[in-house]
Amino acid sequence: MSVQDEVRKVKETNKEALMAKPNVIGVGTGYKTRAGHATAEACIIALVSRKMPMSALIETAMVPIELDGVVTDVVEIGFPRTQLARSDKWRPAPGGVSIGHYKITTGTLGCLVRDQATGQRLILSNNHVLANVNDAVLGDAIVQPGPIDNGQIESDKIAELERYAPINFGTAPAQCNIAKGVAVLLNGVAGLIGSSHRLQAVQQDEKAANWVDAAAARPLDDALVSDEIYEIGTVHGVKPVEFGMSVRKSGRTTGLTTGTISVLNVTINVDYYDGRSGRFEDQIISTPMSQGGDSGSLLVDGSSLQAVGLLFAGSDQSTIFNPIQKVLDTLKVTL
Amino acid sequence: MMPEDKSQDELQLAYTNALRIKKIHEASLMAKPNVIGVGIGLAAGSVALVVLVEKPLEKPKKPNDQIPGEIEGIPVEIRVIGEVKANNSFLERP
Repeated sequence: MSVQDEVRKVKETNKEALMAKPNVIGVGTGYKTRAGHATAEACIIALVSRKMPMSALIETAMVPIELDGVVTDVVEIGFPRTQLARSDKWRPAPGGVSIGHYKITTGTLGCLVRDQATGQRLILSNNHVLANVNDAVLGDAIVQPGPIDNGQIESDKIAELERYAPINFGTAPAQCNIAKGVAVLLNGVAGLIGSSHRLQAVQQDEKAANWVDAAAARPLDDALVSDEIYEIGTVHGVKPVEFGMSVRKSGRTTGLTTGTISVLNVTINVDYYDGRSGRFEDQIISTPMSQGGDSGSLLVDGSSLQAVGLLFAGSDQSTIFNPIQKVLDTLKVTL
Repeated sequence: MMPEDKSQDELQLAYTNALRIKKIHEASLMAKPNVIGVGIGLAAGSVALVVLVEKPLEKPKKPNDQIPGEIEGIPVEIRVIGEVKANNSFLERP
């Protein structure tokens, strides 16, 4: 029996035991890599998504150094694409997958935008996804996937909060003192938090009106993110919204869905989680095409790769979007 | 979507007019019970003010609570939209 046949036989014998280990996602045969170099030594290969230090593994989770006299190797292959759900970890991360500030539940990574001044690529989503409804500090950790999908700061941090448009809840009674304090503070400064540019007064105050629920985060590394939106493609530029327009979005919870624009120039009160209600102006309403966790999805024209809006709210009967140009102008980014 | 007997120009004009009327009347419409939004839509092919309500309307208690059928010649359409939440249920923290 050749060495390869012998190795294959041992692999078959031990396959199930290896696959039963928590991190092993595949088993094969090949040649042992030592110190980064391939050798001529035939071995059994255990495939894992992520290599872990021995110290992080309990004994039964470790791949034995040798099996029935045949050496083993552990090869990291990441997450095979076809098995990835939108709530999984994606590297690079495209638009349409789970993301969030480390203190929230989860939302959707809308798409990548570019800083108007520097061209830096930034992640676009909602304030309530990336900035925890004003309750965040610039530089806070953004995790992909979001916390409800088991995203953790230590292993899944993908970006840091760069800037956000504060949501003004006006005179509605705040439920907690911290929220009240933030609202007062924001009433004072108004506009964009985090831009190095002069703050633009986007929030005239009397009616506590808002136009966008938007924020941007700076990836820790350019290679961690992708310009593509999963199942849509790469979007360039914007398209003005029209009645009856066919639209689509790619979101963490409901995936790729389509809808039709039904109401424009909408003034609407939107409930946030703690009883606060924000008044939004000039919004877009479509037929229902979202559920919780889809917030932050980019609304894309149904027949072109142009952006129309930013999903941020909804009900059983409708989905609600900020007009995309207003989002881009407010955050001082381009698409 | 666009009715054939109306030109784009006419619709544009009606739309601009509706925007103007919305601006004047939105505060009083938003103040009525159950109303959570006001926008502009198409109803039976005509530009209309769309009044968004959380649940189907009950008989108004005061005459002032009544939503008019038209304002300054523009039809008013009432649409039940349900409870509008940011990010829906996921915002209810554990």
